[in-house]
Amino acid sequence: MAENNASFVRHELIKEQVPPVSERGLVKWVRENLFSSPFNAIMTVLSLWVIYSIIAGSAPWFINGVWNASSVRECYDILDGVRGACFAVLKERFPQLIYGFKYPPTEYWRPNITTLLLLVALAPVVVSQIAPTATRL
Amino acid sequence: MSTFTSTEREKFRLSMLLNDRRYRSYTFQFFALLVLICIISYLGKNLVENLAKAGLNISYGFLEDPAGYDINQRLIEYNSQSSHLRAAMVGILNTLLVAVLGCITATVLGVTAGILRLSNNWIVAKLMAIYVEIFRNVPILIWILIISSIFMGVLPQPRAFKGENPDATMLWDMFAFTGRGIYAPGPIFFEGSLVVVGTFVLSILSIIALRRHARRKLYSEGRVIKTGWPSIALFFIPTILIYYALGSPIGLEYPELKGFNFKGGIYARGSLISLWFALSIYTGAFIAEVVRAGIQSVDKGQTEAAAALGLRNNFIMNLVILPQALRVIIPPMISFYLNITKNSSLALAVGYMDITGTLGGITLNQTGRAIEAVLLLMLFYLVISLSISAVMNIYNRSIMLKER
Repeated sequence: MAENNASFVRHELIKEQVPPVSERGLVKWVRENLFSSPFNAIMTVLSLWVIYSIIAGSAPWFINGVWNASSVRECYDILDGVRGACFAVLKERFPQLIYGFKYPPTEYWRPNITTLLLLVALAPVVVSQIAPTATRL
Repeated sequence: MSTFTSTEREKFRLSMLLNDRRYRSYTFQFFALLVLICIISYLGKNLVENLAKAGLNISYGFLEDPAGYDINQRLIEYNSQSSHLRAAMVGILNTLLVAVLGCITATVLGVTAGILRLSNNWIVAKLMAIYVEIFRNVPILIWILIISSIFMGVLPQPRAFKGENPDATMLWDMFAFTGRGIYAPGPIFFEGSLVVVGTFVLSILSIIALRRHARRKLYSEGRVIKTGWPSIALFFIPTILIYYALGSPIGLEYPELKGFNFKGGIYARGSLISLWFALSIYTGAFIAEVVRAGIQSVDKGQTEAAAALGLRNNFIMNLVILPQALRVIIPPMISFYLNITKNSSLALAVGYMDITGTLGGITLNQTGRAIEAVLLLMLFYLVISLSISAVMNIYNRSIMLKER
């Protein structure tokens, strides 16, 4: 009985099969992370509702926003009773918000270049975080 | 050994103040104290002299004078003829009100968010992470302003409740959410209401006593006494029985629309609501992180060991994880409670009249007694902060790891 050549013993391996749909990909992830128990399912639905109500409540305000107007009055006239933001103030006061109240417009290049140089100087730090080997000489 | 203890203590000589290491530190400290007193008295003398030169003096007499301004949100009786001291008291009570409310809701929000952030439900955990990161990383003053403007802008004005077909309706005919504030039913106390309140307090005390008794029996004799249903019964039954036996001595007064505004019931101004909400949601984000850290600081092996002993899930949480997590959570909580109390002085931004608004704001401006008012203000915040830390430290000591 040294050799075993009985025909019911398989000689080659079965090829790996794809797991069932419920055990792979998105479906598996959703089942494990969102609907693993009844309580979890309720929490998922609740949080989806929270996200929906936040977006549904605030999106119109952003979408209806007015970007081109010369005064708040004009903003309200354009909005015509609809609730919306008056982003025109940001557009009009942008230099003031960024550069300060009385900074001469001819000198804007100074802070611009400084900010650019700051970003350039910070770049190695960011790169060393993302790819630690890149900065190692 | 006994030979050392019986040696007579060396007699104290004056030169030992410099030569003996045991006494030298006292000498240095004494001189440091002397210098400190000199500096402070120099500053104080300077202040008094300069004030005198300007024709001023330090006096708290102004506290007796009539304040002459109105405070819209108040817990005690006050009118514009009341004294500045009374105005300060109103401010103190308002500060304490928003601080206590803020501490309670911040704890509830924070603990909920902290536990939910550890949830294995991906979307809940991410939602809580977004909440924590957004609220923690934007200054509280900006949150107070945003929340107050949303509160005033989004909620309807009282006049929207008017008419046959109003734009807004009251919730269950009891609560009115308006841009000016929230109107809720307020209790009215008739004769005999004290008995009902007393019964309620007594039943709560007896619930605590029952639970303590059950715990003692469990620890000493290993006997489990069920406290769940008896506690619920004790909570409701005696009070309700007494309430109806005395013929409903406590009534509810509903807010009603009269003219252009609601009358009656409890009225919480929009400034209080938005300040309270902003303080609690901002500090709640910090508390959430501390709670999460505290729970994560308990080793996973503890949970597994407790499960191996056959403890049920709620026992594992209450008897194994929480007692150890609380040791980590409580000390930072003390500083969060202090932060809420001190941040409540930002009430000025939304026009809520707390102590900074009354004593440190209008009273100071009207009387010009800046030094006196600010000193009193500092004293008040100091006393409140120290009392909060004292109370929380006592609690902390009771749950601290007992090292023997």
